[in-house]
Amino acid sequence: MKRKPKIITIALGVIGICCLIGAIFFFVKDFVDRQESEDTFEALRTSYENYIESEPVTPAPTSPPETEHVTESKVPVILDTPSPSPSATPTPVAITNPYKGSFLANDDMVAWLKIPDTNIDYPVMWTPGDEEYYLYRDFNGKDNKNGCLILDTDSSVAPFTTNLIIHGHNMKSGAMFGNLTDYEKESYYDSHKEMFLYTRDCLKIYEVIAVFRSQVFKKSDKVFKFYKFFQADTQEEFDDFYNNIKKMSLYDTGVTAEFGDRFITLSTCVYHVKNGRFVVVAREKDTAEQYLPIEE
Amino acid sequence: MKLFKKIAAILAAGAIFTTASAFSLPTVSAEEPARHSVKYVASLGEWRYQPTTTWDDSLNGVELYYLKELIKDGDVLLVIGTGSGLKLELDVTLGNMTYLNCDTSVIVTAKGAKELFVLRDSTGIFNGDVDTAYVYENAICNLNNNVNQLIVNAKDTAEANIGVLGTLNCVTVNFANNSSYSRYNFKPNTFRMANGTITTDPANFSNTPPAAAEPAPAPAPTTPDSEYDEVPKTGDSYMGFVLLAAAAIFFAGSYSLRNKKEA
Repeated sequence: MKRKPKIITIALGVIGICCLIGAIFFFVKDFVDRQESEDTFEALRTSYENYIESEPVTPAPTSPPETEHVTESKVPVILDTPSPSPSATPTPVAITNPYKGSFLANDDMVAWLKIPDTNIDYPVMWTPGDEEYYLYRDFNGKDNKNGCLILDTDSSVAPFTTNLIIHGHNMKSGAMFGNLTDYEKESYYDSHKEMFLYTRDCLKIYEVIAVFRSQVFKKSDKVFKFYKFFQADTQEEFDDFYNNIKKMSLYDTGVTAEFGDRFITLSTCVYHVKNGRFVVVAREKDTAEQYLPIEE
Repeated sequence: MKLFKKIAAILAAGAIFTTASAFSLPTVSAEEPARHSVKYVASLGEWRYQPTTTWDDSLNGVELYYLKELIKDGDVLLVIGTGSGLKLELDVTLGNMTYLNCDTSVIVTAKGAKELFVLRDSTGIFNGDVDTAYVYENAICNLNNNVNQLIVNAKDTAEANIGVLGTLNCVTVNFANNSSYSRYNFKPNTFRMANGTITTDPANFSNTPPAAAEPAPAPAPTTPDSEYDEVPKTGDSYMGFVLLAAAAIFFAGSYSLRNKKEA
């Protein structure tokens, strides 16, 4: 009888040790994955910074431009080119894509997403044949639990669909869309109203229009599903999306949209409900730069 | 030790039960269709049954009750002769139903028949859907439900009298000189053949076969109510924390047991 409790005591201890070893393994793996992921993305960001420093933006030929620095961080200068005739519309001059190196490094990259003053500064991958290919792979295709930002296969940048849906992991470390949930606070929104999307052809600037919590529903559920909206060919389709995101928004951003406008939707997992999602929707505000075709 | 003995006894009982069940499992094999005959036996003044389709006149057969007890789906039934009316109700789908020298007093009701034969000089009245009915020469036939295919076998001229109360998909009349003709898609309760001639209003049938039906589309898979839309899962794994918590619980359990033992 005395042997039995001893055996059980030892068994519990052994199982506990095994669980501890397993926990350590996962923590170490998480750390290594995070480091590798950051190193990869940092290398891509560095190539962009090198470009910015070496290739000044060519001003419009009409008159000396008035430049406006948006922030002190590495956001490209947005040219506002006044002309002798106030009614003339400034024409962006095609320039070399600042992410040319990244686009050339991986054909699956379709854009680069940057939200100034946040860690969201990542390539966006698009693999129509396998939507989730980069969900657990880094930019170079190596297994990594951080993955990459992925563009929903029903979205397109060539040509642009009405809505681009970008999915990204909500990492505990804050990587990828780990800090996207900071938009839950209106004060955070106030200082992070814009985001930039660099495609092969141009730079799009978006302003946040709605922030809300939602979820993935059952196929049979007849509810508004934000993740099903890609194209609005009619006023009704647009109104359905627009009215619902405005209604669900945690606060009123004051930004409005009308039929014909385009959007970008950032989505990440949250755990307030089963299959919960945190969503930030932004409206396309401007096409700031046009890029020359990318060639080797 | 007692616990170990109990567990061993349960396992042994389970093994015995499983082994015994395996030996007694019924084996299933396809059965040949059985053959049955029903005939009016004049000497007895009643319809009798024999479990064969070659009626032995030297035997009187048994009561019809036994037919109802023995007949099953797919079996062959032959009804022979006439007598006082026969109303035979069977709760099966016949593989083959044949009327030989019967008259209008013989009515068979069944769930249906795969093949039905009404032979020359016979009358066949059948209640139940029929897959293929064969009517020969001067036979008279009333088919009171739906018929998929009706084949009328005539000599030089057709003589049959046939009515179908349900729908009739196709009738083919074959002649001895190997000529034939077919008609299609008779509306319910419209097919009538009188003395070998179809008397149905042409508006109620077609002279041409229906266009080959497109294969039915695969039924849309019914979505289980629990199936969610496919959206990439973008959560993070908490396995490390789960294992850490489990380790803490196991260590706590081990420690408390150790303390209890020492106490």
